[in-house]
Amino acid sequence: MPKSKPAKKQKPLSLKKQFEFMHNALLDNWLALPPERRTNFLRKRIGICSSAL
Amino acid sequence: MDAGIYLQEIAEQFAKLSLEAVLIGNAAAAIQGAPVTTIDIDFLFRKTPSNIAKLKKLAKALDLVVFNPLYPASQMFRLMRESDSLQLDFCVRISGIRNYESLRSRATPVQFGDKKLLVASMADIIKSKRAAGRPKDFATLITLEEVYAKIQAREKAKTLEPEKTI
Repeated sequence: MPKSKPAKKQKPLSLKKQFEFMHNALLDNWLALPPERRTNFLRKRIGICSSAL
Repeated sequence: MDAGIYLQEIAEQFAKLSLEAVLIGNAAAAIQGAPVTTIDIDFLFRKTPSNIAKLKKLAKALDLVVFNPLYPASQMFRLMRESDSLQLDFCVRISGIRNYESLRSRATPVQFGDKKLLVASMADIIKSKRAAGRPKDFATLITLEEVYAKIQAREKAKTLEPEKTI
């Protein structure tokens, strides 16, 4: 019996869930740090109109 | 790039000069746990002749150049250092915030080295970004609101914890 193809909607849904999980983990990790250690936010100017962390 | 060293330097100079200003914008949001970045460090301060003089002393101490005032509407003073492109913006007024005193009353002190800096509350940062209404503000607004919801949930859990133990 040929394998049934997964429904097209499944893939974006799992990606969305994966993103939500990773995003939540990122936020939780940041919030777990003490405020004085959450300082890696400054971007440095590179050239005229670009910047990098 | 880690802004910790800069914030320590600034906190030390603020204490030395008795200059009072509240950290606002994305820098303040990042310190409270939002995964956002910024190119400058923004402050809100009271525009008095004494504070302007202190701002000039701060610029001299940190080897910054004062651009005075950059945008007439916000009466912003931009302090820049050429060697490492450090940029400090001192605003007199910001969108959505009635005055300096109201922002200060809700700000929390955060330790940087030996000294403390006043950091605006997440609710005020969100309020000002929403009122400013620029595309770059709207881009970070969703993340800020998410983090604020998490902070509120954590605070609520903390207040409920002692009840559980009893």
